Amino acid sequence: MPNPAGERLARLSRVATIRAAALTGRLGPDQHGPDPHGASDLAAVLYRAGGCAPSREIDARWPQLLLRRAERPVRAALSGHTRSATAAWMSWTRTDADPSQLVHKIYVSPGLAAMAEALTTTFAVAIDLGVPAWKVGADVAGLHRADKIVLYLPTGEAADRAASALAEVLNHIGPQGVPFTGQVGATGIVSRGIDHDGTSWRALVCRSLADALVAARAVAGPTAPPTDVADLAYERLADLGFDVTTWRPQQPPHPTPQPQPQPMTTGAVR
Amino acid sequence: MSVADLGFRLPDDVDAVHDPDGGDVIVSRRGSRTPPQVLSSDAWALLELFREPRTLTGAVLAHCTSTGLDPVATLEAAFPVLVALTRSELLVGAGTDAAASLVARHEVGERVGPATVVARIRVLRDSELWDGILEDGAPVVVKVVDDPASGPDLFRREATALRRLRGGPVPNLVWSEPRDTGGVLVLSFVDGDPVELAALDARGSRGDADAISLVLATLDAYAAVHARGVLHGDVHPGNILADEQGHVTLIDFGIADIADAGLGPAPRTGGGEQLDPAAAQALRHGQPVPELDVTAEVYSLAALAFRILTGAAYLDLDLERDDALDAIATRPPRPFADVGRPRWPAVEGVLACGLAKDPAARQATAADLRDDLARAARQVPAPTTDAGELTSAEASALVENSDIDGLAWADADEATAAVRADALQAVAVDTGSVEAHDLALLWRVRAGHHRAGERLHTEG
Repeated sequence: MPNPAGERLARLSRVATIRAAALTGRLGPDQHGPDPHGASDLAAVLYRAGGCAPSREIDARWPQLLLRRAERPVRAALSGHTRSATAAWMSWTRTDADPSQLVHKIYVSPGLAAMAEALTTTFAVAIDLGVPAWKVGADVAGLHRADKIVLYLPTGEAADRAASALAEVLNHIGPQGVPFTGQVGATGIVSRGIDHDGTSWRALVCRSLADALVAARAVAGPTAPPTDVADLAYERLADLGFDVTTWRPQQPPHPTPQPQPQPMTTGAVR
Repeated sequence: MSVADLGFRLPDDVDAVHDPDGGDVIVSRRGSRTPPQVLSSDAWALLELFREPRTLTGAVLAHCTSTGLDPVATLEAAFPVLVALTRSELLVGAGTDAAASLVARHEVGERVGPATVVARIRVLRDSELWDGILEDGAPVVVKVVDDPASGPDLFRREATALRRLRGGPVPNLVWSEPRDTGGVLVLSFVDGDPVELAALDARGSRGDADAISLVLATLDAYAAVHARGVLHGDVHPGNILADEQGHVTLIDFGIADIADAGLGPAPRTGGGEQLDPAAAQALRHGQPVPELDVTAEVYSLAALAFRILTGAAYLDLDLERDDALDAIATRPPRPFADVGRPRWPAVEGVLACGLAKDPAARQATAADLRDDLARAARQVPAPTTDAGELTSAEASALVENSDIDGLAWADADEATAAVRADALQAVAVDTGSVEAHDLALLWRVRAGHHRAGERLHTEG
C-alpha cells in the first residue's frame, strides 16, 4: 500500500486505519458473540499497530540490563523517586507527585538497537526537567511495543516543553514510533497524548476509531474501498473533537465519546 | 508452651499484590531475602487475620466463623501453610524482634567513616548497601553487615580477603569498622553489570565472541584471586561485575576461604547451580558439607561459564530441592542445543570436564580451565540452520504481497489467511519488521483464529 504523505506518525496512523477498515465487514456476528461487529478486535489491531516481534535470541533479562544502565548515572537523583513494578511496567514516581494529576503523556519510541542510549538519555532528561513520573516496558514484550517508554506530566505546557527537549536530544536515533499520538519533532521518536477519566489516550482513540470504522462500513456498504471507510470514520472522529490529521491530543475531545458495550479497560496490548 | 499457645502476627512491612488474572496474592516482606510467596486468596484472607496477634488455632476458628468452612478440615489444610509462612518470616511471633518493621540503619547525608551517604542501594534485614562519596569526590559503596549470628564472621572474611587482594580484581577497601553484629565497610565504587547480563549486545542477544571474552576475563580474575590463597566460595553472576569494556571485578567475599588467615573453614552456600556435586550430595543426605577447595571452585566456575555462554543453567534445576541436589550430584551438563544455543562441541567438551562429578577429572585450577577454554573457543560454534526460514528477498516479497491492496487479501479464505499470518509472524520474529508484525496481526484477525481483543490489558 502506498504511504500517504505527511509526518511519520500521521502516516503510520493512516496506514493502520485503512488496514483496519479493510477488516470491517469481515468480522461477522456469528464469530464475535457479544461484540457483533468486531469493534474490540479492530481496536486491538489499531492499538497494537507499530509494535514488533522479539527475536528468538533476545535474553529475557535484557530489560534489567537496560534499566540498570539507565539508572546508574542518575542513581543519586532517583533517591527522591519511588520505583515500582508490575508484570508489564517498571515505574518511577517522584515522592512528592500526585499521580491523579499526571494525565499529560509523552511517548518515547526508539528502534530496538538504540534502546540503551535512548533510555539513558530519557532518564537524564526526566531528572533534569523534574518530570514527576515515567514508566518503561518491564519485559522483552514490553520493549517491543510501540509505546515502550511513557512519561507523565501535570500540565500540557510542561509536557510540550519536555517533549520538545526530548525530541531534540533523541533526534539522531532511529524511531519506532507510536501511531495515533501527536508527533513532536522531526523523526517521530517522541509524541504526545493525554489520558481522559482514567482511560489512556491510545485506548480512547483506538476504541473510538474502531467504533467509527464499524459505523462507517455500515453506511458505506460492504464493497466500499477501505480508504473511503477510513475517511468516513475520520469525519466522525473529527466531529468528536479528535485531530485526525496530526493526532495531537485535545483536552478533552468534545463531546466525550459515549460508553461502549465492551469498553477497553485502560488497556494496552501485548 | 506449645505452638498452639503462641501468639503470631503479620508484620506491618509485609506487602501484598493481588494478581488480577488468577486470584492469587503475591506476598513479600520488605528487606527479606526470602523470595515473594504466592498464596491463594483464601490463604491470604486467613493470613490477614494476623494483623492482630492471634494463635494459629484462634485465627483458623475466626476464619471459619466468617467463611462457614469446617474448622477441623480447615485447620488440617491450613496448618502446613501457616508453618511455612513462619519460616519465611511472613508470620512471626508477636512481640519478638522479628516482628519489628525494617528501619534503615543509615540515611542520606550521614557520615560513615570517611564517606558521606548519598543514596540508598538496598536495605535488607541483615545488611545494607549505600552509595557514598569521599571528600575528594570519589564514589564509594558503604556496606553494612548486621546479623548477630553470622555477621561478625562475614565481616572478618570480607575485610581480610579485600586486604589480601588489594590491587587485584576486587573493590578497594577504603575503610572498615567491626561491630558486635558484623561491621561496616567502605569500598571503592565498581561500575559494572552482572557478568551474565554484560554478555548481551545492543539488541539483547548473547554474542559468542563477547560472551567467551567475559568468561576468560572472569577466569583470569579468579586465577589471580586463587594465586593469593583466596577461594571466593560464592561464585554466581551477581558477584562478578563487568563494565562495558569487559573488565571484571569480583565482589562479596563474606564466605571466602582465606589460606593462613586463622579464620577457619569458610561456611558453604546452601544451594544454587554453582554448588559442586560433593556439597550437593552432603546437603541431600543431611551430612556436613565438605570444606571448600579449589576443585569445588573450578566446578562452580565451569557452571558459571556455561551460564555466561548460554544464558541458562548447565542443568534443568527447576525441581524440588532434593531432586535438584540429586541432579547436581549425578547428571551431566546438558548440550548447548538444549537451551537454544548453537552447538559448540569444543567448548562444551571443556565445560563437561570442569563439571565432572569426580573432582580429579576436572581441570586442576581456574587458570587451566581458562587456558582450555581459550583454546577450544578458537573453533567457532556450529552454524544453526533452519530449513523453513525464508531468504531476505522472499521475506520482503511476502510482506509486500500481504497488504490489503494485494490479490491475496481479496481472495483468501480463513485457512489461507491463517497460514499467511503464521508466515508473516515468522518474518516479524526473524527481522524485527514492524510492517510484518502489523500485517501478521491483521491476517490473524482476518483468519478468525486470534481474538486480539482478549489480550488487552494494563494501560500504555
